[in-house]
Amino acid sequence: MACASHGSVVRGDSPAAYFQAQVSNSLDYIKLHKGHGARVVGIMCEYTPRELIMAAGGIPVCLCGGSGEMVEPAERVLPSNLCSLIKSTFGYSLEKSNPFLEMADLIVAETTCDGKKKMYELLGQQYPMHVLELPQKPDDPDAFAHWVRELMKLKIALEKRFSIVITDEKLRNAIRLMNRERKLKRGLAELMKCEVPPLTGRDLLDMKSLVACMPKDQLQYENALKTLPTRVQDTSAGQGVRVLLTGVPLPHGAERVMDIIEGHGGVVVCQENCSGIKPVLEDISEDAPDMIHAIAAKYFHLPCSVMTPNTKRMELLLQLSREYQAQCVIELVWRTCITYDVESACVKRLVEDEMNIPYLRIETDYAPSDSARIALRVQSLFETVSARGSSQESSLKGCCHD
Amino acid sequence: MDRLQQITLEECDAAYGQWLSYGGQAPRYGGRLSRHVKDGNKGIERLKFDNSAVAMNLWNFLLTEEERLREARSAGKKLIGTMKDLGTLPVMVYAHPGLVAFYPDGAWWIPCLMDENDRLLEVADQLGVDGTFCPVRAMLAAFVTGDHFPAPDMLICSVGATCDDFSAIAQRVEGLGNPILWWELPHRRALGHDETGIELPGGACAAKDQIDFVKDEMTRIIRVMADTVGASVTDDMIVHGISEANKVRACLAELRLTIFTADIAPLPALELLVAEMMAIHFCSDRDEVLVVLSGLLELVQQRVAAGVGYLGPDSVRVFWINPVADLRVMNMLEECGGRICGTEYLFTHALDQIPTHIPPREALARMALADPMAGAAQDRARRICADIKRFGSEAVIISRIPGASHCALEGVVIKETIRSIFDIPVVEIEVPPVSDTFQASLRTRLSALIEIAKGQRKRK
Amino acid sequence: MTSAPSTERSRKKVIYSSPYIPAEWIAAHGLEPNRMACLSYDRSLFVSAPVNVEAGVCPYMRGFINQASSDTRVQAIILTTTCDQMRRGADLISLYSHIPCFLMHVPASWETSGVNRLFLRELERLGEFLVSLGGVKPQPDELAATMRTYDEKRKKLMAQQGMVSGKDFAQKLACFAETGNVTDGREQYVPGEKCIPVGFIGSPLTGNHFDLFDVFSEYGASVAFNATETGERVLPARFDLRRLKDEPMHVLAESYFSSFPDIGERPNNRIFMWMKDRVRDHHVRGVVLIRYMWCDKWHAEAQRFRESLSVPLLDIEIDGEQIGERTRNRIQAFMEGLR
Repeated sequence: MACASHGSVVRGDSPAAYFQAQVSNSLDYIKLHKGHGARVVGIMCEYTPRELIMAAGGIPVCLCGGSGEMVEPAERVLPSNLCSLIKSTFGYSLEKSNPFLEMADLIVAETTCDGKKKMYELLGQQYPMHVLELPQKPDDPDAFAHWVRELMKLKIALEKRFSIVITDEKLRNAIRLMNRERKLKRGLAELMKCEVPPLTGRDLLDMKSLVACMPKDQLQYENALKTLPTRVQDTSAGQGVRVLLTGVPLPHGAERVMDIIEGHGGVVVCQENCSGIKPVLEDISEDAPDMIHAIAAKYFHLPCSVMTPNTKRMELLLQLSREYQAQCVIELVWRTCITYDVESACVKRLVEDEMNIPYLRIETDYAPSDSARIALRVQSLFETVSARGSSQESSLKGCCHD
Repeated sequence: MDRLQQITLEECDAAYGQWLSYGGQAPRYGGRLSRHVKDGNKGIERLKFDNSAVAMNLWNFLLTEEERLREARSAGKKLIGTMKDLGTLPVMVYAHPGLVAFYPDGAWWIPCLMDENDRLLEVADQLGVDGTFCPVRAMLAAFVTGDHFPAPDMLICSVGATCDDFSAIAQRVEGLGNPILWWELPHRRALGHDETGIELPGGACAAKDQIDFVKDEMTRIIRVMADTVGASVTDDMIVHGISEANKVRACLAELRLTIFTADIAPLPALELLVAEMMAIHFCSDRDEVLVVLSGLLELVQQRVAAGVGYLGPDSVRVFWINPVADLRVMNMLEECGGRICGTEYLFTHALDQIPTHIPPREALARMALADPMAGAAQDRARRICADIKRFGSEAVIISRIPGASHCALEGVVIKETIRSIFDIPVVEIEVPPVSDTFQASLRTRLSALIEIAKGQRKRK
Repeated sequence: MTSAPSTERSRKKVIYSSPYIPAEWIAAHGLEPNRMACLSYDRSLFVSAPVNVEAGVCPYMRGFINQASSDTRVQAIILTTTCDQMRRGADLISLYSHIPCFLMHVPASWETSGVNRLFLRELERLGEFLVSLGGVKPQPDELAATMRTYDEKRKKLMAQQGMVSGKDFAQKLACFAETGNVTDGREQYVPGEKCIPVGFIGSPLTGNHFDLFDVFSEYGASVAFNATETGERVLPARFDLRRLKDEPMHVLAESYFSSFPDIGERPNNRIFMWMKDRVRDHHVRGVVLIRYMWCDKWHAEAQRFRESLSVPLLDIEIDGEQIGERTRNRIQAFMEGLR
């Protein structure tokens, strides 16, 4: 038996138990393959095209920091008024305590927000790094063309660094693998569409892998897809107010707010963020004549708040709220994350005026000192949802009278 | 009418030997009281005791608590240090067979029992918690030295409507590396204009939302306890626990009533104080405490039936408020001609029956809120006055605990309330943990009180 | 619902003792909040009907109650359960005074949503009390407007920190607490080159003890920060103006409860971390713990402050009277040690 980090006991051979040991599983995998000559490439954003890295014989590993303990070391160098995710990621590098980072042969990063961009400069002084310039106008053909060129440069840089040629065949293969992984993850996410989902949002989040296309991970995804729909329901899992969680990503170790939401009567049925469904919604055509172009398109479509205008995100939120029958939207913003913070005004308007459901913005960081206040606000939100639900029910009942 | 005499420790040992030779059966913790002196409890050499084997059992039971805690640990049980709430949480903790609860607060008596040879107060001084604090500062030192009770597996402490010095000392305990689960006990407030109150055991009233809040705190404690020590306490277990606790409380209630209403005092004040203290955490053995108290009750009933007791029917009936840090003062009361006829040792809620007609967590919540220290001093005073009337007390002693943050002002309220209703003398005394230098003045004040009460008797 | 009463009607003074009481909540009800700065020196409680008890009575509580109960403009007194002395003080007021008194439970624990909700409920209950005094329950936008006003004032006040001397700033804080007004800054204060920066922490520092600043100044100190219970430490966090419109009560409760670290909260590790940051940020070379006699919560932690801070600590006990010679000597010795 293993104990889930959030308290429940799980069967030793279940997908949940497997993913609880995610870090050690990933580490074992990386060590094994590195020993056989594979290259480890650290990534820090969903804009990084895994396919290119895999086609170069690399193993993409996520390096985003989720530990609050790494923030303090980072603050010796970085300003304190910076996003916790950035500080935590950097803090790991100072403490040399992220084994994946220490094993990385290369780090690929993008110029997403200003904070990350400048942090990468400092990180690049310690580790080999390739920075992609991400254009931020998603509807501009010139911007897209620039992005394609950036990916071409990455391809060349990978070939040069790893002394390998990235052939079309290798690219196609990588696309196939990643499409498969995305499909499996979509399938798992779609389980949350059920009236009583067979798992919680936290369970789903725990299944987000650190390493792209790890065979054992994919096996467990398949396992989960087979077993979860038929699972005998634990009465507490999967029940509660249906929450669409949007905003910033929740890296491994930074799941506090998710736990608060689901510990106080909610179930996060959909995670419209980069640690959720957003990066896996779109696949790449395996038959595309120009695969770099196709890869660039898929990744460029990702509606992060750094993009302007970010209308695709609003459309996506509307679509997901309907598909997943969300009863409310909670937007999580890491303190000082300017782009998500400013964009939250649009999200609020969208949710309240068009979706007509309650909205709550939570601004916090990795320090747990405000957990109680957040919990109270979440509880109040759920009370509002329940009250609305009751009045809608009674008005519906009223409607049914002859 | 036979007058009983209290006996010294030496006489206790002699009587014990005699009792054994007559075929007396000692419990497993029994033995000559003097062995506790060898263990360091030199303070008991200066006490006077009830002359019965039953009383010896009581003292042996009290003074072997630390051994029991260590045995429980060796047997694989988890020790839960419950702090401050005095009576409620142990009911929940004992509901689980794998758990034992005790109050580290009880360390406040160690300096008295060990005649300061424990050096606990000295250690507390070194930690910056000096004599201006309540004697419970000995508890802080006990955590540091580790010489008295085994380090608990978990500490739970109530805060909010609790006294400052205890709160400050408990925080220091945590600051020294002993994690504490803090739970909030709200100040039991007066009801709002449109609020319906719920009557609590003991007669006080509380608002429903306060009871619901404390009930949620009980639920939280249960959950954290399960996570921390791996013991899940279910509602069914708590129901049984309440039932067992109520047996102890019923026995104590009967004991107190018998003693307070008897024509002559069938049990000395000191033994009654010790017996009452058993209510709060059963002296770490919920089953055995009932045996001890039942024995005491039987003894007292026999003495009352036989017209046997201490002092005489002319001894002044005294209501005692607040426990004393120096146990000798309880002997002093009888030496001055007074007898205990009513007590309020800060935990009367631990003496009341826990409701059984409501869900168990709510029952515990009501019990916690019934704490006399959780509400206004006027509430406490009202209950004291009701008991004064019930037991016919002729004088009141308010024993101030030196350094205790609540005593200075609470005493004023209680005194004024009593004086407004009764025409009986009320005196406030301060009793430090070792009152050697104050013995004479304390004796004078107690004697004066007794004289005044007797004088008033004549006038009525 | 009508808005706050016209300014022509004289506003009744609602006295409060604790930084956990939101002045804007009282003001939004049309009443005048006043956290008294100067207290009575009388040594017996309730001057009009003296209760003679000194031992064990906190001088701050005594001074506060005496001052409050003898001021004819006081319409009500609000106390909190943050300390036992005040909690019992409420008992005494109900026994010896006709002034309506409200005792607000401020939770000591802060880490659960339950206590956060409890604090919010207590604010609501306080509101009911204020209405019973003749106040008018504010609409959410009225409350939000009052909160914005106070937030702006605090911002203006804090902008003056460091620009004026420690004593001047303490006086400004006291004036703001008493009247809700922010006095303008004088000429910029520049501490002397040889001045040694120190920080204050501890019990409420009332107008009766502002001469402490002068004494420290006399011996070469400049007070870089005032973390006492009347200092800048206990100003509430800035309001989240984006949430003010929709949930002003929640914003108010969050800013006042657990946004500033306090010695009485359980657990209270935050204040030690906070102090370390202040010592570092203000480059102070010494810290002065100022506490009232019988104030257990500060007294018990003196040693812990001493051990956790990287600078020397001076522990001063005050008894409600003027600063005595002994205290002056200790301050002098402390400052000499810092040189």
